[in-house]
Amino acid sequence: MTRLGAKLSRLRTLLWREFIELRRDQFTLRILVLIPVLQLTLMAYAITTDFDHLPLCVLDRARTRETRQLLSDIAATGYFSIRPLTEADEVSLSFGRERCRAALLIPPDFSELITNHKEVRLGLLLDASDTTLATSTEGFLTAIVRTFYTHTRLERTPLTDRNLRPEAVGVVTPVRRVLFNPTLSGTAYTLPGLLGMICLFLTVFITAIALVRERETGTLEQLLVTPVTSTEVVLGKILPFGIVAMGAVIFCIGAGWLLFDLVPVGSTLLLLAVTPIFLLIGLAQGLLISSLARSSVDAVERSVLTMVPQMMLSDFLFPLALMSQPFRTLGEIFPLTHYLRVTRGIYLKGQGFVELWPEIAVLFFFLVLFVTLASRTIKKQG
Amino acid sequence: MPNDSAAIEVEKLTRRFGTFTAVDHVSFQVVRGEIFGFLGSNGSGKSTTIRILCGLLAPTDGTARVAGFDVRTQAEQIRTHIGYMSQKVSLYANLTVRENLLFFGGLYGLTPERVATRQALLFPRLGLSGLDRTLIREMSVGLKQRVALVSALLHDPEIVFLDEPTAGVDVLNRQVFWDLIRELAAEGKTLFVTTHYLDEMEYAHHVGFIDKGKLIGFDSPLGLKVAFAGGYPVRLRHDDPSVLMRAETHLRSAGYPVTVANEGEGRTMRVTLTDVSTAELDRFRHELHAIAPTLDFTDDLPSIEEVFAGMIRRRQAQEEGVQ
Repeated sequence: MTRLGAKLSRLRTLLWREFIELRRDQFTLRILVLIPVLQLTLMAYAITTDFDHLPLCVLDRARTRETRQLLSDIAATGYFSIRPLTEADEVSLSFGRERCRAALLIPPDFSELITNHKEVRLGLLLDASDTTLATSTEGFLTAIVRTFYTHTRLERTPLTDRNLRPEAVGVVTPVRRVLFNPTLSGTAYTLPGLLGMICLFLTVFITAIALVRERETGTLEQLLVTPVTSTEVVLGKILPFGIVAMGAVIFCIGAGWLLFDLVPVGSTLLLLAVTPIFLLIGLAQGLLISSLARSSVDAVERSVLTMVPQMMLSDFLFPLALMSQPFRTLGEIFPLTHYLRVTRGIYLKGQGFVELWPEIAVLFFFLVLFVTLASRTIKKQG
Repeated sequence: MPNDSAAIEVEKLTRRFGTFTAVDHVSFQVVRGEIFGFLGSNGSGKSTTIRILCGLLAPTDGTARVAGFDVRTQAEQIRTHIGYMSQKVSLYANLTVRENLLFFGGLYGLTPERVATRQALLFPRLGLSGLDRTLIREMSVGLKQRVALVSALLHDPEIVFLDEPTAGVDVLNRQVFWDLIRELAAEGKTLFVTTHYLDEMEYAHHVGFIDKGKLIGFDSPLGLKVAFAGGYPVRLRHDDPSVLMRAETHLRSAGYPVTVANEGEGRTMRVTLTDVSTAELDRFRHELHAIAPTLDFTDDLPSIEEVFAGMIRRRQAQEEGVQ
C-alpha cells in the first residue's frame, strides 16, 4: 500500500469508529440533536422579539374625533392592542404590569392644538425594564403619531405651493422605513444568529470534550502507539464533528424555510461555502481547549469561558452598535461576530461576496491563527 | 553499537521535565525472546521509560533502540514492531469487542480477514471465544484486559510492552495472562512487563529495578536474590536434632557459614552457599546425603518483593548517610 493509501485507510478507520461511537454514545448524540432543536424552538417561538399586539394603555382626556382617529390608526397597525383608561389614577395602578407595558397620555386640548397648527405634546410612559421593547414601542408610536399629525394637517390645510414644499410637510414627518427586515420579524433576525451559535456549540464544546475524554480513558495514548500520526488523529476528530455540524446548519436552514418561511435573500450557496470556514475555526478552538484542559470538567469550563463572551459580544444577544467603544472593539476579535455579519448579510440583506469579502477574509485569518495555535499546542505535548 | 540479539537497547537514557529528572542515565538491554520485568514504585520513572521506548515521549539525553530502531528518529518504524497495552483499559467502551479489534487492526493496516485470523488464534487461548458482539462497557475488568491484550497482539508485534497488564485483575485472570505471556516468549516474542504483583516477576528472565529515575538493579530473579542475600541461603530441617548437630560440625569444618535457629519443635539450620552453580548444589546435596540419607535442603531465598523493598531501603539509608 502506498503511503497516501495507508493514510487514507487509517483515516477511514478513525471516521468509521467515530460514527459508530456517535450512534451509541447517547450523551453526545443528545447534545448534537437537542442543541439545534432546542435553540431553534426557544429562539423562534419563546424568545420572540416580534412586536405583536402589545398592551398599550391609553388615557384619552380629549375624547374627540381626532383622538379616536389616532387610536384607530394605532390599533390598525396590529402592533398594539389598546386598553382605554378613564382615570389618571389607573395609569399608576396598572402601569408596569403585564397588561400595561406602555401608556399613552393624550392631553385635553389635543384637537385644538392640531387645528391651530401648534405643537402637540403627548405623554408616553415606557416600561424600560425591557429596553428593546421600550425602544421599539417608542419608535413605533412616534412614527404612527407623526404620520397621523401630517395627514391631519394636510387634510385641514388648503393645498398651496407653500404647503407642498418639503420643509413644510416632509421634514417634520420622518416616516420610518424599516430596511432589510421589513416586517421587523424577530425570527428573521434570530435564525441567522442561531446558525452561528449552533456551529459554535457543536464544534467548540463537542471537540473539546471528545479529545479530553479519549485522553482520560487512555485510548488517545493507545492510538498514538499505532502507526497513526497526530495529524490523522486530529483530522479524525475534526471531520466527523464538522460533518455533523454542517448537517445541523443545513437542518436549521431547512427548518427556517419550512416552519417560518424564511429563505436567505442572498445566496444560500455562499452561506454554505462560508460556514465550513467558521466550523473549522470552532473545531480548532475545541482542539486547543482539549489540549490545554486537564480533565473533562476542565474542558467544559474552558469551553463555557470561551463561548459566553462570544455570545455576549458578537451581536448575537445584544446589539454591538449600542455598546461602548472598548466592547465594540472587543467584539471584533471574536470570529462569531464576523460570521454573524455574513449570515445576517446573506439572510436579511441579500449581500453577496462583493459586500462580504472583508468579513470572509477576517474569518480566514482566524482559521489560520487557530489551526496554527492548535497544532502547535498538540505537537508540543507529543 | 547495535546488537542483533537485543530487542531493546537503552544507553544512558535521560528524561527531564523542567528541573525534575524522571529518568536518570538508565542503561540496560533486553534480549529477544525473553520476558523482562521492569519494577519501580509510583513516580520512579518506570512509566516515563516505557513512554520513551514506545515513542510517545522524546528522551532528553542518551539513546534507546527498540527492534533496532532509534526512538528519536525512527519512532514511525518502531510503532509497527511493537504492541502496547497500558494499565488503563484503552478500548472504546461503546464499541463491541469485534469493532475494537477491527478498529485497532485497521490502524495497523490489517484487513478484516487478517484480524479474524489473529482473533481465531488468540481468543481460545484467553477464554474469549463467543464474546465478539459484547460491548466493552458491559465486560468485567479481567475480560477487558484480555481483549486489550489481544488488541495489542493483533499485528503480531516482535516486542510487546505490557504496563501493569494485571492491575485490578483476580488471581485466576492473572494466571490466564501469564500463561499466554510465557507462551509468547517461548514463540520468540520479547515481552517488557511492569507489574505491582512482584510474585509475577518469578516468570521473568530478567528484572530491572528503577528507583528515583536510576536503575538500581538488573539481573535474573535468582541473580538479584542471591546478590541481595549475599549468597544462596538454604535451610536444613530434620526431626532428629542430633542429625542436624552432626551436619553443623561437618559443614563448619568444610567452611560453610552456618546459623542455627530454633523454629517450632524441630530444629532448623541455615547455610549460605556462595557458589550457586548446579554443580555446587549437587556437591552440597551429596555431602548432606553422606551425613544422613534423610537430610535434604530447601532454598531460603528472599522473595522478589523482599529484595525490592530491601534495596530501596538500603538506598535510602545510603542517601541519609551521605547527607
